[in-house]
Amino acid sequence: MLIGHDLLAHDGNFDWTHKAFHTNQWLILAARHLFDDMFLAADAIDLAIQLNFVFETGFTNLQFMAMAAMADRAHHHLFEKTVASIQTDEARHAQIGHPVLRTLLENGSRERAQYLIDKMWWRCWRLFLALTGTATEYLAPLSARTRSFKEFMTEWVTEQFMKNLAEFDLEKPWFWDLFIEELDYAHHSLQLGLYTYRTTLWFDVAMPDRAERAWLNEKYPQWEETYGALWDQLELRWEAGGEANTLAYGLPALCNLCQLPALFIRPGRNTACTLEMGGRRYLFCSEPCRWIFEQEKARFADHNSVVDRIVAGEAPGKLTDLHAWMGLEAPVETGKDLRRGLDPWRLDPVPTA
Amino acid sequence: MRVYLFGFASDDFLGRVIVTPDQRTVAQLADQLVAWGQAPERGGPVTVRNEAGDILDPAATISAAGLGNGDIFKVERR
Repeated sequence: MLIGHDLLAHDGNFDWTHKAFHTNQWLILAARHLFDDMFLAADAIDLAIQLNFVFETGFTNLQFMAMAAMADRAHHHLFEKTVASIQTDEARHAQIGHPVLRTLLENGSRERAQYLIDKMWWRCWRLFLALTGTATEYLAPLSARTRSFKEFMTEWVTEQFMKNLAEFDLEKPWFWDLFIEELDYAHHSLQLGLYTYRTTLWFDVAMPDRAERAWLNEKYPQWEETYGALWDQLELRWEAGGEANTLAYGLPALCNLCQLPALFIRPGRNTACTLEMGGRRYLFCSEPCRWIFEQEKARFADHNSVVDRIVAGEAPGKLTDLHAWMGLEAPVETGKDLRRGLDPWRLDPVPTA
Repeated sequence: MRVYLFGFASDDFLGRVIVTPDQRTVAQLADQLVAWGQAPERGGPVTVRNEAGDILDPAATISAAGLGNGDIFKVERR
């Protein structure tokens, strides 16, 4: 909220730093679903493993240290100092996880510990690729990018987490190969989803320009081959019919566990699957999401995704009404194309005290 | 009866919800999904499969092809 408040004078949408978590916006619902599972609706032991050991020790280094480094290069020193400061707190209470995990293992609960780690690793990965992955590679200025999201993940998350697992003689999560494969693609696919559904977001979304595309292809040698034609098509559609022609109008399929669009991993490689239970068919973006759901069916079964609610008539199917249901005041607050709707403040370093 | 299905086109990046009468044909269902996708227009033949990977008869109705509420179908464009 400190960061958002400082920027309110430049763009009213920074009001969402306060407002977002209390809305029915679909990405916020996904985050809330994760955090409810991780700590708000978890017992003390599960919380310590899921929040302190996996999320804070495993992932927040990437969020706070890597993004602080980027913010420094983008001359946004308020953001840099804020997230670096947050990380000092993370580093302190992240240490709760290790002794709790050790105690759990010493008391014969290895299987439970492994399950909690596997589950939360996957769930955190889903949210990180959606928010951090897309922000670092499509919103950060090119000049501020030191490394790719994949390189950050490999150094700050994967390698460090492997050491943590080795310390306790725990196994890599069973879906590790899929996770590694997704590092090359998943956040790029999600960026296309964010872009084409940007009117359902509270922030603007960028279409990569030629220089950014060259950078992405340098970091991900398969990027142009996989995604180039899709972005080209969006450019052509804009030229032919204006911005409205680049928006998706059908509903995206949402995963009944992570609540994110089922777009993984990439064009031509679809990992979606279903589960029939209690007269209802559930959709999942991937085997790990289905596996987590199956382990705790009673915990997850009654939750309805935004699409489930629309199909059941519990949420409006008309887009303009759906904006209001999600808390978005259209068109003022709804996401726009970043580059073509570029506000002058985005061209200059953010003024800070 | 109207059913809602989850469609995945092989050259698209996203699963999409299709709400449609179940008496439409599998070929019409595939056309609807491709039209809603973001991939460049290509024309040409398509193959439609269910979640298990079985090829569906394009002339069959959605209902006769065994697709019902919440099912996945995949459209492969060549």
